[in-house]
Amino acid sequence: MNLFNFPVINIALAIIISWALFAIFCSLVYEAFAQLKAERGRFMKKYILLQLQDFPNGVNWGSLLYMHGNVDLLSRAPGKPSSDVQPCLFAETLIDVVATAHLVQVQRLPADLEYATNENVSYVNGTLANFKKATQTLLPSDVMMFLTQALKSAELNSMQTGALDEGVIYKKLVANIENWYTELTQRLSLWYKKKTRKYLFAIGALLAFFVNVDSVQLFGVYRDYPANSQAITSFYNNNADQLQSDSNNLKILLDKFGTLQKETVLPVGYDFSAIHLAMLDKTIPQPQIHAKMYWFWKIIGVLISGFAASFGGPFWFDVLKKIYSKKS
Amino acid sequence: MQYYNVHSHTFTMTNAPRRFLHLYLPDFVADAVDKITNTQPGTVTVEFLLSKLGGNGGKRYASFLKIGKSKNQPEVFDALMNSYTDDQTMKFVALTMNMEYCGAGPSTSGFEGQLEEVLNIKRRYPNRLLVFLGVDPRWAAGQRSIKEKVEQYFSTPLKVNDTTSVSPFCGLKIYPSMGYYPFDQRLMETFEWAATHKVPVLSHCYYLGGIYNNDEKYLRENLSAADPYSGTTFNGDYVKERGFWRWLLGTKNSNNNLDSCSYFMEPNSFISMMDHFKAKGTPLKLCLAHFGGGNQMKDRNSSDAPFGAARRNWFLQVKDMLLKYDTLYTDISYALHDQEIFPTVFDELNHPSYGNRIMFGTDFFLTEREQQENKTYSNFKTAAKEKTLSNFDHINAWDQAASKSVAEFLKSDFYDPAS
Repeated sequence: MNLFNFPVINIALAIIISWALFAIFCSLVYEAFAQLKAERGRFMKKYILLQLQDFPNGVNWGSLLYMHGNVDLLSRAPGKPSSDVQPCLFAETLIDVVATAHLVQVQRLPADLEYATNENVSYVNGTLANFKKATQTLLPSDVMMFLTQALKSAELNSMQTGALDEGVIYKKLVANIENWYTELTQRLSLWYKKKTRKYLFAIGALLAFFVNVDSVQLFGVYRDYPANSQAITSFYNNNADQLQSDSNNLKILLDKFGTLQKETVLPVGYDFSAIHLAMLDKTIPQPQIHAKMYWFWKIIGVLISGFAASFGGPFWFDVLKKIYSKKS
Repeated sequence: MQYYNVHSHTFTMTNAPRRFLHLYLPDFVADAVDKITNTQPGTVTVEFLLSKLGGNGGKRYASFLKIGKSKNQPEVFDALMNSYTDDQTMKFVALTMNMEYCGAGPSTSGFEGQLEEVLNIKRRYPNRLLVFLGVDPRWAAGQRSIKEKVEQYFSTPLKVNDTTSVSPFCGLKIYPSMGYYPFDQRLMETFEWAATHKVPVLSHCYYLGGIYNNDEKYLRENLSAADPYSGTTFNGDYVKERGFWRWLLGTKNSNNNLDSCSYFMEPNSFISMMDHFKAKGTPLKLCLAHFGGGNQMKDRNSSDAPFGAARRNWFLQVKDMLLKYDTLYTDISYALHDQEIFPTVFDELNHPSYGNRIMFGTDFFLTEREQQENKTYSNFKTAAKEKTLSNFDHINAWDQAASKSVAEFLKSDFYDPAS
């Protein structure tokens, strides 16, 4: 028995393809919005500022990091910070920011600490010496604990025949901070994905309302007119590869959508939207919008489309791939 | 001749408390403006909307937000320098401000972070930027700690490059309306140190203008305080005014807080401290900025009693104090955008007793909501150059206010204008 002979499976397939196409469209709109707002860079900056806020010492190392030439030169626009700060650049800049801070220079080392510093870990290199001084003299905070630990670990791992090689310590210190930053950026990607889903849902629901991508209505159309579901399935079969590879090319996508619109008689587009129907000449009867439960199902349909868009195009294409692999 | 702008700011919204806008706008408007102006297109949109809905005032307010929100401190300073195209040697005093305790939440950068940022500009322009260190009695625990912090910040040279180091700060800035009296015991040792080293202190003193403490509970508990200089208790009353529109717009509490903070910064609150240092033989070099406020300058003949203990016009209070204390200065910042005050300012600049202690400053970038900096500067400079001061060897008012007076005010163990 072939499951794909069941009409309900074909309807589901057609719906998923519709969602995949709609999700691509929504992603494109979101991408334009994100570019305009420099959303990725601002999101990253927001979290770097949050993580490197050092309340006990009254300083935000993240803010100073973004003002440092190394990072500032990447975009030179505080409102549009770069989202692509490499781990090595981040680590080296953070070390420099801490080491050159006037806040560190004004601290006085207690006599016994000075003795210990000079005798045990005496750095010739100014950057390392000042970084060490920061970890010794600033008030304990989450950020300072992290930096202290990074330096201690670098020192311990650089011990060779009892002597300390400053070059090796610096490299290991950079590596330790890099590791933390890499972990943070991985988490940031996840958080950004979550945030993107919320935006995609909002954009999806809004667009679905204005261009009438109503999942409930589409379900009805695919159920009542099997030719439409077959048309959209064959459209997908013929264009699947190109749709995925050119998902960022708006022109190609619009051409494809235009072709699809001609091949099918789907109630998609502004002409079918509830807002357009409601604004039409009142003398022309519009029975459907006065039907019982019309607005209820419209809202449900639009919300389902928004929800589908929030998963993004790649998710739905993966689902389709899996379905087709079963079929073959 | 070396000219100075003795009163400017480079701080941005990241240095200001997170709820900074709530000090000036109803909560719902502040939240909306804050979110929208996070981006350049948002700022442009707000600027457009405010210019349509709020007239010129609205547009200026948006310009103020644009500088404060879309730039960092070095860019703000660049914008300031670029407003003085005819004088590439002009020096600017940047006043840092500790706004962490004004009841509007902590800042993103932190106060020490704000100092780091401004010192980064100082490294780039060591000769053109003169930094005043903002002090607040709540900055550290106890007067000894505050004084030691200040001393360390002043005495640790700022490394510009491998061959050059400069003195990072050249004065102190206080902002009493943030919630403390200038005679606060916790600042006594710091002012002793400042008086000994002739370090100038500049205090905000604009009637109902500027930033204030927005925590009603804190104000109620701290408006009455002991004055260690006079040994008396200073009684300030929380001002509670009613107003339907204030209530409707959600600004009733913030207005009451602003009114109440007048007790902290009114000129009268500085008298016991000035008397103390004068009697001690080490007079404190103090500038009561803004000459009490442009509004008070214009209302000097009004019978309305302003908020505060003395219930007397602030401009007149400052004038009386200028006569009494030889080391008291004032500046004409902020009010300067209003050309109506020019005749009064020129009369005062020619006063034989204290005309040489009135300084030029603009209060950039807070003045952007009134008028652009280059216009404020050029309007005053043009008018002042034409005005000769008969009581001061016919020197013109510009040379007096923007050069001689400021140089004298800034001279200390940490800064020599002649060098």
